[in-house]
This record gives sequence, C-alpha cells and structure tokens, in this order.
Amino acid sequence: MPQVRLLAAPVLLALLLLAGCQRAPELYQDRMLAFGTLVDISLYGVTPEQGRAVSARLQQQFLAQQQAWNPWQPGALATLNAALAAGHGTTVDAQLAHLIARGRALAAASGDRFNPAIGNLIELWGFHRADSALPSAVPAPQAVDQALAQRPRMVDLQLDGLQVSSRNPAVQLDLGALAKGYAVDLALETLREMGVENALVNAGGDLRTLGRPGKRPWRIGIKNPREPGVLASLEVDAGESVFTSGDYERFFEHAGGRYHHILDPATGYPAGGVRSVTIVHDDAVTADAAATALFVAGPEAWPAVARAMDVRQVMLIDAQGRAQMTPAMAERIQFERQPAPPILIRPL
Amino acid sequence: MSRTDTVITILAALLVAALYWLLWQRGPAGSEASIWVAGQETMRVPLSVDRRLEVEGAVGRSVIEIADGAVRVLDSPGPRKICVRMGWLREAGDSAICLPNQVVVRIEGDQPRFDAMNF
Repeated sequence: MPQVRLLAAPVLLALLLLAGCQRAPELYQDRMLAFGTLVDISLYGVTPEQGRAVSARLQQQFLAQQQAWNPWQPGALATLNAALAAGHGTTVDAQLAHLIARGRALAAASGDRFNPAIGNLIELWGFHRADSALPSAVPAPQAVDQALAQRPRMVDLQLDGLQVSSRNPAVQLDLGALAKGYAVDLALETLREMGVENALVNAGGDLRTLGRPGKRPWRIGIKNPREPGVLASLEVDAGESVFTSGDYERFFEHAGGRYHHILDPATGYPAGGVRSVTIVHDDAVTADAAATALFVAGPEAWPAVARAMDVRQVMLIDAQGRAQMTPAMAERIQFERQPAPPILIRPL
Repeated sequence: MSRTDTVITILAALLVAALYWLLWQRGPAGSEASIWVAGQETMRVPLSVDRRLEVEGAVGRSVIEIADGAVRVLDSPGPRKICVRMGWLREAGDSAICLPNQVVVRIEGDQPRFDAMNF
C-alpha cells in the first residue's frame, strides 16, 4: 500500500541517522595556570561534582609542586640550592628526593646532555625569571667559560635517603626540564586514586593519558614550530606521554641573533640545529628529559642518545625544516600540513 | 520506479551528501575566544566581529585584536612579549599566555578534531 511505503522513508532515515550516532562518554574539562603554562585536564565518565573535586585537588597539587620545585623563588629547591652552594647538605621530602634521583639517572643515560645541575648557567643567561628584564645582551664569553669550568654535574651529588649534598658547590639544580613530567605523572596517580579511569592531562606541550576517551584512541595534534596550524597528528593509547621541546617557547633576539632557553651544557650556549623534538613514551619523566637531551644532542647525534635513554618514538624537526624520525614514530605520525616536510627516517 | 521509491532514493542521496559534509570537512575554526585574567575565565568574544580591546591584568593592560576570524595579543606588559610573539590564534585550543599580566587568550570551539594540542 502506497501510504505505508511513504511512511517507510522518514523511518528509514531516522534509523540511519540513529545508527550513525555514537553516544560519547560525558566529558568534564577544566584548565588552570601552573608551571608557567595552561594545564588542560579532560576527564571522561565523571559527574560535574566529581570533576570539580578533581580540578580543585589537582590545582592545589600543581601549585604546591610549582612552589617546591621552582629554584628561583623561596621554596624547597631554593633552600636546597642555597645549602649546596654553602657546601653542606640538607634533607628534602620524598618527592624532591625522587625527582633528583631520576634526574641523576637520566643525566647519566643522556651523556649529560640533559643536565639539571647547570642552574648557574641558566641564571647567567637570564632565562630563569618569568618576568624580570630581558638580558640586554648575550652573557660575556668569560662569564660563560667560568660557569662551564666549574663543571657542575649530577654525579657530584650524594643522595643518602632524603639527605642531599654535593661535592661541587657550583651544582645548582634547575629541574625545569623534568618537573612538568613528574607533575603530570603525579597528577595521573591522583586521578587514579580519585577513581577516574579515563583522562588526559596536558601541560602545554607535555601530556599524558589515562585510559581512553570512549572506544577510540586519543587524537593529539602537534603544532608547527614555525607557522600557525597543525603540523602532524598522532593517535595515542592509554598511558602514553607526548612531550615536545621547542626553540620557540622562550627566546630573545639580540644583534641579529636568536637565543632560546635550551642550553647545551657542554658549550654554555643555546643548542643549535634543531627547532623541536617530540617524544612518545610511557613514563612522562623520561619523555620530558629525553625531549631536552635529544634537542641538545642535535640533528646528527640524536639517535645514539635516544638509544641510550631507551626512547624509541622520536620526531625531531631540524633547522632546515626536515622531520627526522625513528621508524616507530614514522609508523604512527600523520602529517596534516600539505606538502609534508621532507622526512628522514633514522633507525636506532 | 514508483514515486515512493524516487522519494526514498532522493532522501538517501541527500543523507549521504550531508554525511560527507559532516564527516569530511576540516576541523572547525574557532568561533569565539575566551579571555582569562588571573586564572579565571572572565569573558568570551566572538571572532566574527573585527575589534580591538584592552584587558586590565595584574601589571597593566594587554591589547587584544580580533580580525578575519582570528585573534592575537597585539601588546602586553612585560619584557619578553612571549604571548605577542605567538601571533594569530585560529584553531580551537590555540592559546597565548601573557604571564606577567596573567592574561590568557584561547580559541574555543566545539568538537575539536584533537583531544589535545602538543607544541
């Protein structure tokens, strides 16, 4: 009968539309300023009340960590640095002790390309203070040489339980290349404790995931170091970390030169030849340190350091705009920019 | 083909076209920007109207410009001008953070293509 068949059309349409519809799990999002950047948290499958409770707890946690681990303002790390400079040791809390121990192990694995003991050099360049006057010039070569000559190294530290001391008073810890990674790992622990199973914590260029956003992987966009827009995208699974270090985060220009904040501990000057390094790894602390270490290692030598640090998924954009990658990274990265940059695969 | 068949066929074709458009278009440009002062979101501005506005922050005024569906920080107190150097923000999730003045500008958009941006 014609009427029944006419009715079938909208019913069919409705069925088709409903079939295509997937109910996404409830998403709670919040963002907060911490560690000098905007930290985004995305929580799946929580009620707004739970979300607010989690936000409040994380905000508190981040602020406490920021204060404890910022060496340039009064706090636990500043106190430690003062003690080390005065030639005696002091006791720190378990978290700071853990962070220092991890820093020492990662520095060793990276051949000291990642070297958190160079606080004096960082201070010399002026990259440490968030809002003070920019240096009007590059530091005097003699000052840089002098800082280098003191050879502050993580191996100079003695760690005895919670007691930290140094046989080299020039060791001044700046854990900036590690702190966000640890903060992110600890945030995820807190989320698990609070019963959250699926979440993403993104501190600017440093993120880690927990669970999944529904029945699909996480979709992460990687920004182009030199132009607006997305350079590449990545599908990321539960528990993976994606960390990027770039020469565009903090820099100043002077007399035609451009000086960024990732110093090469061997030369005392900003590491050259690289625009950004992106690492995918499980553990956020390793990913954070490796992003810096490989940046310093440079466009030729980075694969050896990646091997030594046991990171297998690396993308390095060099000063020529070429994307150098490990095979494991090449398998999962998708370039969004057309045309894609020149690609160089470097097996480890 | 009967008339009903024709109707169904046309509707189905329209549905496919609509799905194509929905699923294959580029990620949405942001439609509005949020402005944050001292860690709190204080206002949202549409990106459809070209304008310039000043926002009072912790140490002075940040100047924000909206033009051609994008937003940027034109000027902000502080020596480093990191947020000014971010340039034009266009896609959902793009943000410029003016630390000394504690002002943040961020592009908001619904259903962004990405769960997070790494940079």
